Amino acid sequence: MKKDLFVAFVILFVVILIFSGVEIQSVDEYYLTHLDDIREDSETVFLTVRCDEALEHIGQMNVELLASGLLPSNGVILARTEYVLREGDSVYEILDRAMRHNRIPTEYVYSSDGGVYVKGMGHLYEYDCGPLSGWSFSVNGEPAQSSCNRLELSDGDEIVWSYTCSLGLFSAQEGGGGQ
Amino acid sequence: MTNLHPLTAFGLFFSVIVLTMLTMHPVLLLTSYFSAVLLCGVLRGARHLLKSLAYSIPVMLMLTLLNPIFVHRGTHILFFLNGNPVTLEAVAYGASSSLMLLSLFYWFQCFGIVITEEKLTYLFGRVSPRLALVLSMSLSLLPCLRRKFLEIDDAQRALGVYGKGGYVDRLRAKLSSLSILLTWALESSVERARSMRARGYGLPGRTAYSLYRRTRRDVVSGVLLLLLFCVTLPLLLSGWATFSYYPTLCSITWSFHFWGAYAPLCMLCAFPLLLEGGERFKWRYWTSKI
Amino acid sequence: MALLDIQNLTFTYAGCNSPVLQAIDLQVQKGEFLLLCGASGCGKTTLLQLLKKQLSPNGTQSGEILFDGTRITEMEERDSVRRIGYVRQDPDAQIVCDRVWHELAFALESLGEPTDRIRRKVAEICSFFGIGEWYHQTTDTLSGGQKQILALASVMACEPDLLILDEPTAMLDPIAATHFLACVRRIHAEFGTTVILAEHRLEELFSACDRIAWMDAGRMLFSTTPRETLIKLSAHSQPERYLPALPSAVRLFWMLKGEGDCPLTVRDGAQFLRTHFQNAIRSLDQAPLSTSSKPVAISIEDGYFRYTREGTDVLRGVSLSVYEGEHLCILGANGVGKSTLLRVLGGVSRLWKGKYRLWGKKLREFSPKVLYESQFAWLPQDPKTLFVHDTVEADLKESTSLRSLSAAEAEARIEDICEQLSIKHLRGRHPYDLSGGERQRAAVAKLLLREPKILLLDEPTKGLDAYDKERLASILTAWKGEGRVIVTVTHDVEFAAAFADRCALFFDGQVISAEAPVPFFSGNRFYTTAARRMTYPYYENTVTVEMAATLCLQNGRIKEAELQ
Repeated sequence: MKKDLFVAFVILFVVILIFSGVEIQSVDEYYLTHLDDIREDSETVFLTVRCDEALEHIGQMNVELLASGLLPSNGVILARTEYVLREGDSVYEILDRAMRHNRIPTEYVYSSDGGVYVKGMGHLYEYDCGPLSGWSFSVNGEPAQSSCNRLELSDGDEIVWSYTCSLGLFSAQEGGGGQ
Repeated sequence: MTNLHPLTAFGLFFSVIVLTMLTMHPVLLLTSYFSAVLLCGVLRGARHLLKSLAYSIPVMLMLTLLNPIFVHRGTHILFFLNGNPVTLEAVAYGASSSLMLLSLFYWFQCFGIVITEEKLTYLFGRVSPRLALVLSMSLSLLPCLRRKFLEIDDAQRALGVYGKGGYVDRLRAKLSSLSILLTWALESSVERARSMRARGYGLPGRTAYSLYRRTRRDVVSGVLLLLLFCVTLPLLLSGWATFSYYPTLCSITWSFHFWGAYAPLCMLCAFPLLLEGGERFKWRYWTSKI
Repeated sequence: MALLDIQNLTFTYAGCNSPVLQAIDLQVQKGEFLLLCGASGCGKTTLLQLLKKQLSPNGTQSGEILFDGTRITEMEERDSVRRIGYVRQDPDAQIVCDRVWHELAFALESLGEPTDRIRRKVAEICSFFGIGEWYHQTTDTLSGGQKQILALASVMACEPDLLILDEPTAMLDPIAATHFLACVRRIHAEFGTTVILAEHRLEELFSACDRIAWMDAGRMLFSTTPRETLIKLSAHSQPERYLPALPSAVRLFWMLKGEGDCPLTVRDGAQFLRTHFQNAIRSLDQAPLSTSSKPVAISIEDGYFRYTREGTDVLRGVSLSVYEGEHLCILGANGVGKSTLLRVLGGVSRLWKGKYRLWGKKLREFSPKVLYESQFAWLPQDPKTLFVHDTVEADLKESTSLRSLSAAEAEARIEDICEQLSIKHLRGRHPYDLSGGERQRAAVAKLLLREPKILLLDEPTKGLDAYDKERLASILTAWKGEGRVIVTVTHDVEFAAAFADRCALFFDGQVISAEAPVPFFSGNRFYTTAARRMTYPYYENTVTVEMAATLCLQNGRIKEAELQ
């Protein structure tokens, strides 16, 4: 009897410990982001997210994904949109805000050295289109050389996130992705 | 079921366990789970079963919830946990894998009840009679050694060797007790070896005596089981009854493909239950006639 | 032609100088039951081992051993396995398989018999020996007696022509021993198997066997019928040496210098008494017990003990007092908990209910160091478990190191003890190389060197011959006289009757009675000595053969005329 009580207490303790460390938000809470209004003097950047390369390689694509019809037929997950650049924002913050606002589920991976990379966006995950597939981005046409939270932006930058099926040949995200 | 020939019984459990491991279809898993639980209940008794079920609920919950914490794919988002979505699909997958694990657990429990140590030795011994003997001897050796060590331990404790000195001294004393055990074991093994030779061990042409007789029922069941297994295995492997969880749960289709893989599995799972149930029913029937 | 013909056999172990067997001549006829007697170390085991090819020790052999006309060394392997069966002392050393059924089938498997034939044979054997109930059990759950029966059955499965048994009841309690010997006699009577049995427990066997062969120091003294044995023995020099080994009736006959047919069994002995001696004086005067005035060494009041929380109580309300200067024997059937009681007395196990006092103080007032190093010394059932080192010398030195003596003092003490126990020549040997009796004495030496106050002995007479038992008893009595305590747990009724100060019967978790041997055994009809069974009701309160002899002599013979 005493042993059972003790075990129950331990479990309760562990549960409380766990719960104090977690943060639960409802769907709406999570997606509630405040976008700054674009004013004349505010610094802005442009963000596009596309997956047309994935649609070109349907043969390699994950069967269930294809069957679900979740991918946009035109290959555009997010059309070119302007967002206000806040102080100290990196590509990661912009993406995060934009995705939340548009209610596009995105999964990030936080690597041990502090870098962040995108595992999946809009139901399209890495490796869904063959072993060399994944997300990569470019700033002003230049493929990224470091992870998306390390790249500082300036006014007027063009950020393009595209899903590639041949990672390694084009831009690779530093600290993660294929290769 | 305990009267079944060990080979047949082993074959049955092997088939069922392997097939359960190969599928993720909720209907198949549920069938396997319920058959396993029912069989366990029949073999072990209802009370034991209920207790074990009660303990399995928290395990099931834990496993179910473990999956969504790590996998975030899926379209139906329930809520966000530390910035990551907890989706319905992930929960469903977790539930299915916990179902699979638990059904394996119960199948293994039944396996342990039906296939006793003796039968296991017999099964291994079919490979070679000498192997069976070695296994039998090893099994008898462990309790013998343990008993002797307790004796030695007692005698040494009465000499007071464990009482004095620090931890290291006591450890050393325990090791010296172990060395006594070793000496005794070596000595005893020489005696045993001589006893074995005196009774003819080492003569060529050794046979293996088996307690188990093969009946017609065993052969027929064995062939049937083999057939069912050989039919279901390739079907499952080639994807006749697949169920996908991501990015959305697919619907349960009652297609020909599905039934093609499900029916034989059903029969396999039902087989032990029918066997047990049949035996009990027959018993009741005949005793009611008295 | 004799089944077994041993001609002028001399055998020396490899590496030894003196021969173990010298010029042995022996013939055993088909269907004979031969009893091989002799003190420990006389060469019985060596002789018996030489009869089986697979067990023959290494050494030089001269002379012949012929089994059914063929030399043992030239026998075919299969023949030797099938036609000669061998059962030895230690049940644990013979049983190799984990299941009873497997053990029974072992020899038949080795001979390559098909499964069906094995099945039939095993079924037969089980029915004959009554093994059916425990056919499916694992062998480690069997009692000692069951294990020996199993060993016998597995040997008999091959239907041997010759059955050799080397002290098979040495490790067994009296009930199991009787049961085992009854099985052997059945085998002899119903199958006509030739049996050669080496034993110390001669009480029941003297009348059952056809011939007795007596060995001494490697030589065969004689082989003759049981009734002639006494005559042959008395013809030798120092016949008193052989006296303790003989059954009670024979001993009585000898002591009283009887004439005519020698009685062999208890019944014969009783008849002998009644026909030859008067019984005007019915019992000897007994000195009253003096121990009750001595201080109490250990006392247990209403003690309860169990091994596990969920188990049943092994000790249920035990009340016992052990006095200083006495030798207490605790008797009782096998497996009832006598050893447990000994452990509790020795402070190794604690009572969960009841009072325990050592010299009037509670157990926790003694530190474990004091308890094990100055108070108690425990001789376990298997003395092998006591020896840690490679030589007896090293173990003895370890004992003396407890007392922080100088090297010279320690050596002097060791010398002294070795002298008393006659183990001086064994000091350099490995403990496992010694015979049972020698090892026992070495173990006692190791314990006595620790100078304990209370000596606890668990079945000390297991496997000892009569002479070794007497020697052990005299050592214990000498030691006891110095104000110490000995507690022995045994089922050797004769030993307890002869050497204990008090005897207690342990039954059903309790100590039933605790009295001096004479009133103790006189009060029992069944669990008592052979001497008592012989003399009751002709004489009263007679529990040893010596007492019976004294009474007879006091009474005087019945005159011939009165026999009408």
